[in-house]
Amino acid sequence: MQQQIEAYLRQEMTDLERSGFERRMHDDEELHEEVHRQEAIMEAIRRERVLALKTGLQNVPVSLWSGTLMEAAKIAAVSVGIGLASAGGYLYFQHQQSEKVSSDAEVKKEIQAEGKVNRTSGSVLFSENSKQEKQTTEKQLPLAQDDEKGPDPEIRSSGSVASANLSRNPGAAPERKENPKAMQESDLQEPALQGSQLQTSGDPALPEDGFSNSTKPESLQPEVLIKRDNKEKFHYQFADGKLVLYADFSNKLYEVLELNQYGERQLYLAYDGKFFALDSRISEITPLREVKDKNLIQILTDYQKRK
Amino acid sequence: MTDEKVLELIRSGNEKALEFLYRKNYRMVVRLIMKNSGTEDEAKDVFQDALIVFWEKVRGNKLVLTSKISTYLFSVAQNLWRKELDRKLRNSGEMKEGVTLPEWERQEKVELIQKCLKSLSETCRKILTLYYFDQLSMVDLAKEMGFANADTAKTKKYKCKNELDKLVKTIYKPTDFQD
Repeated sequence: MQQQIEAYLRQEMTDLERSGFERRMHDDEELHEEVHRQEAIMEAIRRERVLALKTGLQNVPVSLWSGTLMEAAKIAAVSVGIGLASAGGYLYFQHQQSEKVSSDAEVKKEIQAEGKVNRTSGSVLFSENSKQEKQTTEKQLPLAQDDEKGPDPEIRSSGSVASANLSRNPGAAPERKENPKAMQESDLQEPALQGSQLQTSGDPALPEDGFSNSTKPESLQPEVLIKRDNKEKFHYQFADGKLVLYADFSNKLYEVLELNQYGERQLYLAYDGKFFALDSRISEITPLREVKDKNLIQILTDYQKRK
Repeated sequence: MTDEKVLELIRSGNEKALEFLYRKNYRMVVRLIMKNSGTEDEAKDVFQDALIVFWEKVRGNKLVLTSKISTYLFSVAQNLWRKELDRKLRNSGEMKEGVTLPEWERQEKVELIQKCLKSLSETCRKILTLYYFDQLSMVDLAKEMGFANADTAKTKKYKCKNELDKLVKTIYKPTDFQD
């Protein structure tokens, strides 16, 4: 009976079967009530399921603008986002470039400032006669040391630059400037970079080694740039007219000596009791090579002692 | 998602297909109803009913689709809304207090039976829903529930239905369902 009731309610009967069943329902009150109860049960099951499905659909986000317009809005939003990201990237890049330019400018300024200090201290060392200059030297050196404490760890100047045109002429009287003091003042302002020929006073103790003063090539006195925090620990190079030293000179002073040798200027680095030749033609980072020539070492040492 | 894929998902009982159709066709159907004196809420309700009709027919293998699903849904929603408008028109000329007493009593009985249904186990509820709402065959029911075969599904369905009948009989006498 239950199966027939279900078949009737699920409309699985043929027309003939259905009409026969309905006649039975009409005649059988109990059957009629049972059919109605089963119908209510099936409707309850249906309602429960519809409720569950509708609840699921209610949670789906929709709007009247869904569909193509939403897609268009999405595309527009993505395009705006991409545009903003591109603009942001461009501005960031520009900012980086300007920072680089300004940092390069700052480096140049620092180099120039260093150069002034070096030139000043260097020029002082040219002259041996003035105590005032020595005092100035003493004043200058702290300045250089203070530079070490500056914000840029790479640009330091801890030493002094000295340039000496060692004039060697056994027989000739050494050249003397008529006004040494005036020379010293000019030295303070315009060091050897200007090309002036600053000479030490004649010193009979100087060995005779054939150096001649007859030819006076242009001074090589470069600006010096110190770079401490590089992987190269004791190297150098010449770049853009500057001498770049890759080393840590924070503990000891260094000197750059300029030697007039066989009509050519030669630069040497004096550091820690040793001398290192500097080839001004070297543009790549090159290790500093210690001077082994005993005669040359003696010359350079004697010069240093005379200061 | 193609129409074929949607139908395949519905046949396997995947409700995500319904959600897809809902999102895709919402604007079209709701605007149709709103242009015909309906509010958005009414339109939403009608569209959900249309989707459920579609679900039942596909699940019960009673649908032969000769057009796109969107077109079918559109026409079902139109029909449902037309019936609703007719019902409103009829109601406006009849009792304005609401439904008739017999109808109200019937609805009350159905709601009580829904409560009985909720007291059944999850498995029984699912079996009865798949059989009476989705109108699956015993073979399909066995497959969906993971039963060994159609006979097992038939036995389990019988047991669950008996349990529900007993619960309903505790609430209502047979005479409560007289006309």
